[in-house]
Amino acid sequence: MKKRLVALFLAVIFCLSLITGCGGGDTPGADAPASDAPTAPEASSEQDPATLTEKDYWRQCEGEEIIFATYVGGEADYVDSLLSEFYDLTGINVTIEQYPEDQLYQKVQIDTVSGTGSIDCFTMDMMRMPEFASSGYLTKVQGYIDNPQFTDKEWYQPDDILAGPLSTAKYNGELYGIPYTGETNILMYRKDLLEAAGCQVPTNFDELWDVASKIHSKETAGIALRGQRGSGMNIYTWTQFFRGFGGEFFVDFPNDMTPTVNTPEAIEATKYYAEILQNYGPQGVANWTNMEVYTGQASGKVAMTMDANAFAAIIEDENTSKTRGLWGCAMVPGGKGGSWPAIYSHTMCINEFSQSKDAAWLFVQWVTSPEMTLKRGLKTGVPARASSWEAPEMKEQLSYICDGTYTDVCLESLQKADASYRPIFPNWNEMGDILGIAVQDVIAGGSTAEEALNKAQADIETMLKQKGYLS
Amino acid sequence: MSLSKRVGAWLEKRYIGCFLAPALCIMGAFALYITVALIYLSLCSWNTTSPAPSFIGISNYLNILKDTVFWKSLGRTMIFVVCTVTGEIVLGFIVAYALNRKIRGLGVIRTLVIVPMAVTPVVAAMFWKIMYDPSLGPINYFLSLLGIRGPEWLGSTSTALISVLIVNIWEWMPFSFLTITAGLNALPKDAYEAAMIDGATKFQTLFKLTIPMLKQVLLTLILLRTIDAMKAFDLVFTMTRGGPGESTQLLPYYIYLKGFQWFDLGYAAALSLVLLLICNYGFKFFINKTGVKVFYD
Repeated sequence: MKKRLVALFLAVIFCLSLITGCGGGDTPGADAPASDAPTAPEASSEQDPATLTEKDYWRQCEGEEIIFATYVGGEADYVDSLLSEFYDLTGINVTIEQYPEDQLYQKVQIDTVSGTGSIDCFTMDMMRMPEFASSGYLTKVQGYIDNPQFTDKEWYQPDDILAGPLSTAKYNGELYGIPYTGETNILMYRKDLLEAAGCQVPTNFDELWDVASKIHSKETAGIALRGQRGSGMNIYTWTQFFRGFGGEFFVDFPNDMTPTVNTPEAIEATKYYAEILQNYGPQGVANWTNMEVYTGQASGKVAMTMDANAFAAIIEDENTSKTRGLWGCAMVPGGKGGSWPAIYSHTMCINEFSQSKDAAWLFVQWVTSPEMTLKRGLKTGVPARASSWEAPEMKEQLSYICDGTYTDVCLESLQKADASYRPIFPNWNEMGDILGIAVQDVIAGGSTAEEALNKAQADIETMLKQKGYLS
Repeated sequence: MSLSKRVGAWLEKRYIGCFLAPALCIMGAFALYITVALIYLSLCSWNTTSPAPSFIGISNYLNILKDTVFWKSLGRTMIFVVCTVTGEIVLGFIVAYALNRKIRGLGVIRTLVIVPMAVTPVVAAMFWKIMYDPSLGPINYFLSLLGIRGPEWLGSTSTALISVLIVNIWEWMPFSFLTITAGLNALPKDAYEAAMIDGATKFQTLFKLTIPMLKQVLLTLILLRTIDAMKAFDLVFTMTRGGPGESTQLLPYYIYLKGFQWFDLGYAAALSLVLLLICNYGFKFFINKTGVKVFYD
């Protein structure tokens, strides 16, 4: 009898411990290093606080506290290390919360859907902007920029923000944030190989084919582009050709969402993409991701690519690249549809439900100001302002990349890039993945461009009908 | 009767229930609730454009019937399951039979044979991805020494599924080997002695004696390996992401894409339930037909 009671007691204890054991401990990213961030390096001495403190609007939100949520990384650590400067300037206390990207958007989504407004401002991936902007979760910022009480245009220079990244912060013509970073695609080529083959830098797709065929050898592939399927993989680079050949994703985005991915232009572009890789690409390129492309460039197996500008810093780095010093860069070549450099950016947004929107705007303004953008850009290499790319410090720091032509090419590319590169709507990911399957299938020789794209067109139509975009 | 005695008597009558309660609670929370939630979710539309699940009846299931990608993925999964289970068990049997004798260093050889199973599947997949690489990988290098131009393995639609199959067989053959070795060791010796006296050849002993006596072991092995192969995901995810094209897109990977890449959670739930039903009824049929003893009741 007693034994049974004891056993029962133990069973209850066991059960309780299981229940408590399951709860709690669900704060991902809570261990992000916020306090032990590196202190501001040499850059902090360059600032002249006197010119800033003169602006009387800086202290209008003194004493307020705001939370800035962003993705984990060196950039957030760097901004964190400069927060004391912002506090001295405004008296606003900012806390930076860092999360891995997926958790960041979940966190922001929960916060905005519930309307609590505990996160005052955050960075947002350009592909998610329409989802949040159309739901009314983001504050329109044009009013702040135009109001002299909140923005000294002469100091802030809103026109200096690059057109490409700026277009990603817009939704239906309204501005919902300020670009935080801006990345684009450039053409990277081996100067030595082009010279040896007597080629000029290609400016259109015909010349690109010609150059790839002439510099292709057994050791070094003439060109490499991403083959691995995925909306953020092969479709990210394939779109340069698709748009360049004059292809459009829809009849009239976003009014008529009938897909047009099996038009003659699309077939021509996909055929070109697959054939140039089959003929002058590396073996197994159908499975290549961005990583294989830049590793191939750095190890001397790839002579040319049209991919993210961030690759340039890797292939010209003396610690990671065997081919450093051999690279040149230029705008991506185009076709009859023009030249279409890709665009990828993050936008700094203000929560519509924040209690301290004014303070949040002052913070956004400070972080995206010409000075801070340059400082951040020197750390990351992806500033979203023209003045940062033109600054002598920036040119000096990046002069080792492509003989110093890198900053000018990036600037030109970012001015030209446009958010409409890919259609931004909530189901783009699925549509892009379906297209990615088709493109990879063609590269791997599974079917012809026409067959693969007809299938993709049908699959995308089915998907859009199910989602209610098409009747 | 005092209160404590009364409580004691109550517990006396119902102690079985009391002891079962914790286990039942956990089962209820982690098996029953989740299954019911899955069934409900499969009748809903829930995606990025609708923040909460909305009930839409059986239209997810009707869409599955019309979904060509689903049927192709299912067919590919079936081919994958049949080939991988056959390959694993045949190879496992050959190796186990060959090593079922007294030879020097048997312990070391057995350990080496088991190694692939001890490797984490994702690590094995990364390792094979390098092996298969057409320009950097050792496989095509050695083929080139023999004067053969190796295929593109994972990079071509015609060879990608076979390449994944080879890795899966390599990884799980040791499991068949272990189980069959254990089964061989447990076989009664006297039957073999009788066969020897009757003058049976080695060949006859194998097909008339060993394999029939191992039937239960082999059938159980087929069942276990089929269940595992039906949900193969890790190799596909790490090596090919379902590509090139759709050539290695098995059903579990398609469910993953629908649910966690495209956030069509209702549809993904319906797909998972269909996979579950296929497995469940397939296995019931298998068990009834073969009489394999899985449950001892």
